[in-house]
Amino acid sequence: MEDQQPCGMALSGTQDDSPVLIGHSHSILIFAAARQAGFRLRGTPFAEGPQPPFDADITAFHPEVARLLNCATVFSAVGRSVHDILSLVQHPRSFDFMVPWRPELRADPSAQFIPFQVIRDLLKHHMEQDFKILALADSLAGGRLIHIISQPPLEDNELLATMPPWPMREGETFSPAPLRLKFYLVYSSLLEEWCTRRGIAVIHPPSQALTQGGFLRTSYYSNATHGNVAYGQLVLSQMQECL
Amino acid sequence: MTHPYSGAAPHRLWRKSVSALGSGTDPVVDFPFRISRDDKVVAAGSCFAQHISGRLRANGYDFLVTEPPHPLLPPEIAQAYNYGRFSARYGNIYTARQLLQLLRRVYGRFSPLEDVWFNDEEALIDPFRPQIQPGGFASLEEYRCDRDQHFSAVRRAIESMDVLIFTLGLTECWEHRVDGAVFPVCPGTAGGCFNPSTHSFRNQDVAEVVSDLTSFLQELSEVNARARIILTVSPVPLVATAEDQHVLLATVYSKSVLRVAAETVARRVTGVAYFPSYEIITGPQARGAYFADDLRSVTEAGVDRVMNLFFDHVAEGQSSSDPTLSGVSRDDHYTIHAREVIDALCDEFALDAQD
Repeated sequence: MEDQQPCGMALSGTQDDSPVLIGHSHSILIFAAARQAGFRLRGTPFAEGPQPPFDADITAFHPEVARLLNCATVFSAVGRSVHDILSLVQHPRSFDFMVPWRPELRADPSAQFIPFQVIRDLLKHHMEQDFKILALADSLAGGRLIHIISQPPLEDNELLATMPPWPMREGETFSPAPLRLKFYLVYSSLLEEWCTRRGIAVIHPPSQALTQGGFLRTSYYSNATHGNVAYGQLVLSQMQECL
Repeated sequence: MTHPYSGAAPHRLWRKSVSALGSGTDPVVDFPFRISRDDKVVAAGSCFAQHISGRLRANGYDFLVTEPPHPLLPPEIAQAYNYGRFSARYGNIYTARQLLQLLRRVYGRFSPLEDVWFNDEEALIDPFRPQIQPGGFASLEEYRCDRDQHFSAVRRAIESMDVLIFTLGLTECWEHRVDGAVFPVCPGTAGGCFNPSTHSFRNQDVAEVVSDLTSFLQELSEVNARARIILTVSPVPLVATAEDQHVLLATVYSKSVLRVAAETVARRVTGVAYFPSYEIITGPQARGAYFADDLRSVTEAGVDRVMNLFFDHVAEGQSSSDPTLSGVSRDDHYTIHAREVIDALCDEFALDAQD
């Protein structure tokens, strides 16, 4: 069965050194790409595995998930798109900020200005759960833990508007693309900083999938918050290079 | 035989109004005006002023906040970055000269030569509100954007307020030798570098404080003629003095100057009143009970006593409790909706795994 379906939970007691992938919905496209490529990748997206995958305080994984982590290489796609939660839809009180390493992404002078450090703390506050999950995975990983940073946003608001991922409320619009990108930049930098401090390697979004400005190319778009399987294939190649 | 003390009202007699009442002493007599719930109240001043703004807000008065936190920010982050602590994010304004300087800066009448400091991490610090942004600003452009927004918020507060409560805190300050700009803290303590050829110490006297307050009132009237002013003096002693004298003496000098200046201006200018926070906390009737163990911090009981008397004599009508921080809600509706949407999207994506 496992041979026929390379992606899935390893059976208890089996000796298997193929890599493991854990994580939220971003892991789905990577599993899909692995299935297409016939690449053996163990694990299951959190939403499809044992529920809940960890206890309420995030001090222990479900035993089935914990067992999986005892292998040579664990990839993580942990992350709940916190930057999307905070920035995908235009807030009724528009706001903006600046990212020091991308000064060309100016702040909208008509929006409430929020200093960068405040935005960093806001994101950290919302990322607390993701950090806990990552820390738990790191403490249980038998070998290397490598975190995959999810894809940046799409630039094209008109494209997003043609395929609204949910019934938009009246007057609801997507946030300006630069604001969405800035949130993503801070989000990904926080993740990278956190991982680096703990000695966890990170995989950045593949450069082929990005525009010059750092947005996701439309050919790698699945919906407002996820890449597609083609994007997953690029990530899979990056993962294979790590092995 | 009659004399000016014959038949004096009890509040004029120590025996009747202090000795007899002890901790129940109420030194507020005939406060000249009242604050209604419709009045927009702005507070500024030293750290003791924060208590006033907090209690006004908690009791349902219209404490005006023109630079509120964005609703996305949870209260703990908003507070850490000093949103809502005062009406705008100006931080502590310890001296009358600082208050006057802020007014002139927001209307473009004064631009200090030294208008940015750096901290040890090379982040930018606003010399005139050095504690406002923990960690500092990330770039000069960000600093300027935030300052422009702040100035605009201060102008809105000044122009729309009905009442300003200003708590005088200090006479000691550090100033720039060339343009006279005053800093709330000594350069080098919270950013910047102290340079004796550029920075000098000033300990204001009564005439200077009166002059600064008078100039402030005059310039304020040009943009808001209806605002009434309540002056108070912070009862919190100096944490340190730059004078070569005992800090206790420096404290008594400083508070005495401020008290005399406040009284002088209140007597001279219509629409200005003095509220005796200082006396309520430090007077002998309190027997030092309103100071914490460090003999400096004011206890909650002390703040309660000041504010109870404030509400009795200054605030109009019954108060209702509304302890929310203006502009902040723990569960911003937008964030809740966005999280639901994103979670739903992720769940849907999980159920619809694409091969």
